[in-house]
Amino acid sequence: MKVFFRLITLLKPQLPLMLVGAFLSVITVLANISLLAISGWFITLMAIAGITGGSVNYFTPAAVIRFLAIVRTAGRYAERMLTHRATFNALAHMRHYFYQQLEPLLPYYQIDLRSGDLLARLQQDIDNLDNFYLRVLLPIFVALISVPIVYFALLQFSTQIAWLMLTALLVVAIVLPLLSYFASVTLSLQKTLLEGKLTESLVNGVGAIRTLLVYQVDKSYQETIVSLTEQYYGIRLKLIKINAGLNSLTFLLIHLSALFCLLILIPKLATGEIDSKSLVAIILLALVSFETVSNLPLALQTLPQSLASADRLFSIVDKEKPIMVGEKNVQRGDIQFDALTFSYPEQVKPCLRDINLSIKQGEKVAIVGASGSGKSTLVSLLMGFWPIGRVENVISSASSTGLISAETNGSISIAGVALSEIKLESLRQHVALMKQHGHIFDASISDNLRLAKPNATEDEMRRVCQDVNLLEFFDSLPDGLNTWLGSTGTGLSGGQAQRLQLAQLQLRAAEVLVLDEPTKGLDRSNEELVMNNLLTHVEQCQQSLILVTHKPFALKRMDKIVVMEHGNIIAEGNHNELISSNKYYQTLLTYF
Amino acid sequence: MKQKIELQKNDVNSWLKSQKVHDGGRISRAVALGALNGLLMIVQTAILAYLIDISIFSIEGDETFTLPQICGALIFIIIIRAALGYFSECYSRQGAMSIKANIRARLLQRLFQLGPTYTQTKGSAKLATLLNRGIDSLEDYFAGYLPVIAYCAVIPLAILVAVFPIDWQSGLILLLTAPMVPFFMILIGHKAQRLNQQYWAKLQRMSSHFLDIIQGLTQLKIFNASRREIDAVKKISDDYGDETMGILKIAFLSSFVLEFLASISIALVAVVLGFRLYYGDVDYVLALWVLLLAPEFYLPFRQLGTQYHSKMAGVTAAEDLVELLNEPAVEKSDSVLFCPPFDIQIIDANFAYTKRNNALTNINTVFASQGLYAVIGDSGSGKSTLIDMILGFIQPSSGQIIINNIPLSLANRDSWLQHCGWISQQADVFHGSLAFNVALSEVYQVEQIHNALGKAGFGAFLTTLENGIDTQFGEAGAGLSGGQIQRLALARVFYHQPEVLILDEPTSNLDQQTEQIITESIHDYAQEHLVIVIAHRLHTIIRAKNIIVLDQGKVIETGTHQQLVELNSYYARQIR
Repeated sequence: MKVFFRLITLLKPQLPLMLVGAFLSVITVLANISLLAISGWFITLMAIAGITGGSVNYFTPAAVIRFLAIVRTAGRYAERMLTHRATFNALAHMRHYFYQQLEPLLPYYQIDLRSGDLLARLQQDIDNLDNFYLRVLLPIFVALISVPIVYFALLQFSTQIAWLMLTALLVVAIVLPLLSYFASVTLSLQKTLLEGKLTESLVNGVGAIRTLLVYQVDKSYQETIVSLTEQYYGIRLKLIKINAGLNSLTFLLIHLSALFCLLILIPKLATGEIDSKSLVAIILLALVSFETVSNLPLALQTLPQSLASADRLFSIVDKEKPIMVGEKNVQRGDIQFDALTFSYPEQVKPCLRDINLSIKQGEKVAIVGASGSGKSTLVSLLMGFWPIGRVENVISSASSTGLISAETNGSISIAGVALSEIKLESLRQHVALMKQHGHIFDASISDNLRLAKPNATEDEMRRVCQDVNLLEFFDSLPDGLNTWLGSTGTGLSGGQAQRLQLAQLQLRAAEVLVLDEPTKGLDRSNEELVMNNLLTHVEQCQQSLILVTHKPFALKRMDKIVVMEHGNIIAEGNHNELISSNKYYQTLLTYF
Repeated sequence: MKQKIELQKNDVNSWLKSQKVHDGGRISRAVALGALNGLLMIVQTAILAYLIDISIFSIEGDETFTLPQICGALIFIIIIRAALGYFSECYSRQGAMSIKANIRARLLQRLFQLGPTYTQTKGSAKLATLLNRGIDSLEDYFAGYLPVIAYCAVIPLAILVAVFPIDWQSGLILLLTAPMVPFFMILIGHKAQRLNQQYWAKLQRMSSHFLDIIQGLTQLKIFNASRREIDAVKKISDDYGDETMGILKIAFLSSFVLEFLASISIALVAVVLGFRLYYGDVDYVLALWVLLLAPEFYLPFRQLGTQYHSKMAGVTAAEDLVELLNEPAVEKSDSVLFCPPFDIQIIDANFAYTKRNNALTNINTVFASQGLYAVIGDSGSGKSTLIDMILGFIQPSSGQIIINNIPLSLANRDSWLQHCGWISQQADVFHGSLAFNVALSEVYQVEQIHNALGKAGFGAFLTTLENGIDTQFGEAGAGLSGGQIQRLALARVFYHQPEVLILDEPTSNLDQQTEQIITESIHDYAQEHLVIVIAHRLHTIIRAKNIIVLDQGKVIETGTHQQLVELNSYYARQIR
């Protein structure tokens, strides 16, 4: 119920449009019912007149019939247009809302939210919600208004009939849907789950087709999909059967109740309590009156699905948001790590232990160390990807949700302001990162570059491409910078993608550049060229540079080199100091 | 050009119809039951009209049937019709679902035959949407449109047969208005079809865009662009709504026209009957019957109006499906069996990606039996393309890959891959346990998993995991560092023990220490297997049996480390 009202609140901006649509809907249904009733009344009138030979006024009923026919047809058109418009507006609004809510959650919950699953959830669940107004709210509204009207109309002729029909209508409207609800509630849940699982498996599997093929697991993958499909369709068939059974029961009720009406009325006809014209009108009205509730069973069957989707969506958005709600802007200044200790969930040993490090503005610092020594984690923390500070808060939430169970101690500050007090936008304006597994978007080369700097000019883009030695290659492509890069950067080799990300980084007007293994996958000549250009760029712009690497290259030009091992800083100094004192550093240099 | 499109459309239509064979006869059964239901409806209305007639105009003693008899018959028919409706609906949906399941299975199979180069060019997100929603949008075509088409042929005809003898004027009205229905539908349908294609393209674009945004959300945050892109989501959704409204508007307009037509002719029938009744031309019972039948006459057409759009949605989706299924079929020749040890010969191979310069030009080289072979070169020099060619994922545009005297082709690719292992620059990590990621199967041998992980240098990290090999990992290896992902991929190889191991810069994410361990493992492995490695850390390949240097798609140097150093050219420059 809580979810239901929360959904309604989300729909608020569309409510006026939705209400108008609903009223049109009611009018259309009522026009349709009256149309048939009056037609029957009219025909009988004419037949009796024919037999008795009296004259009749057939103009008025004929005009009414024409009017109702037009109201019915035009009303239905207008109603459909309005209600669907409202639905799409609501859908766009909700999608936007959920994406907005999702944004702060990544990458914190990366482990928990698989992207395929997330896509399935978001897209399918949000799409499921498009049923909410059209197939759930609207039928309920129509029934609530028009059923009493039908009841009062019948009451004019016979109390007995009115009660009979009210009962029949309520059975179709409430009893049958309740039956189906209890019959399908678990099935619907299973269906949505399987739907999501199927989408996820398809997205992930098609993405990893190469691995699946080489390891000959394509057959077993296909079998998985086939069996998932089977399960999914199996569940759907059960739902369809419930639905079809419900339809048949409704059909029975409609026709039998019309018959009962007739049987009740026949004696009244003899006593003269009712005339024959009204009898025909009532029978036809009884038959059509079920239109007022015909969509309710489906509505109540859809309701649990919509609520389940909404519940899942809300449960994503309601995840504890990272506590970085700082309001301060970053000032130019030194970066300070103070006694920082950090561990990821599910890992026994802390990933970083008692890190103390200061990076002065304009300083070039390299962080070296074996893989898994905590270099990337250090960088992630600086980017605000994991919350630090207000430790008690984080830990208490961890035990309740079991999701953020990262533990932190100590602090990071920039120009004396703790990271937890800094506004994230400002932080990311200030610090630019080149990730180890960066994402290249399914867009053109220039679109990808403009993500880093929306107002980048053609010249700027060409300059940075030149700096990373990609310009020649891009110019050799028929579409140049407008070449479309397929999903996840297909069309570029690993090294090219890496250099494109370096180009993106250089477009960022940040004070601090952070590079996580920037030359991974680059051959030596490109590595040299690219790094030299980058260092020149950094020196010119007086940017700070944090270079995470395990390659010897460019270390001589660094102001400071930090050596990490098992989450600790084991040595710190410049090239000359370390080369004489640190063994790891010595071996690092003999590396090609 | 236009003719060609027409031709394709016919292809798609006939393809869709031909898919009906996969329903196990269920849809035909559904149609038969549905048609019978329609015929019983005619009887039911007749009885109802009769019942009303005798209750209004009954003359004592003139009754052929008693009231209970009539009511009994009516109830009987109503029950039968309810049952028919139930089974008809179930059968048609069931039929549609078995067709869809069949198509999905075949498409997947075809997709895996075509391999990664195809999914790369088409976009894997797009293909996943096609396999999922694309196929699901066929359901209404089979379960809705096809049966309704049949009803349109049967039920109105039956009604005409019943009406004409009673009241030829009404029959004529119905007969004349009936052809207007398809006429209007075709008129409107043509425009809707075009819009529908745009809609489908848009849906696919949207889907891949949203997936892209979610996958790249961290990247967007780094660029401070996440808010901006999320606002774009709103715009895209709005556009999508507008687009859908455009199509729906047409659907609503067509049903508006249809309903209007139906209303007018029912009104006409009613008026004509009214006046004939007035002049005593026709019996009341018959007039009432005709009046009750008139709306039923239009019902199948009106249903067709709504289903026509599911037809168009089906056809549009089917176009993409047919395109995929129409990719040149591959004759599987499972008879070709490759037996180790392997000699891979590449003879005069050329390859170009569409719209690009030659990626590989005149490659001639041999990888013989066992040992470590290395391929090096600048990025973009064609190393990965060469690897794809050896794995059979792409076919040389000219020249051949010959394995033990058998030319490698799409047909025997899968039996070749049985002997291959592969590690990329960034290995795929699947959502699942560590053990699953090594074995790529839910069934595995624990001890071998541990062995493989140990050999791959994963052992130390394993001990820090609370749940050991049952630890769950997220997609793209969330929870693992770059080096750990590569070690996981190596463990996968050691577990599967392929005869031919192909590595694409396997140690590019590894630190020196781990790299040393891995390099040793690879060398050990090369003692008894054929190993081809793309390398950029040259010290890892000093002991290679042969080093092939690529530059802009051409082989510029080959030889051992010693030979290449003496050659004093490209390779020698790299290690200086």
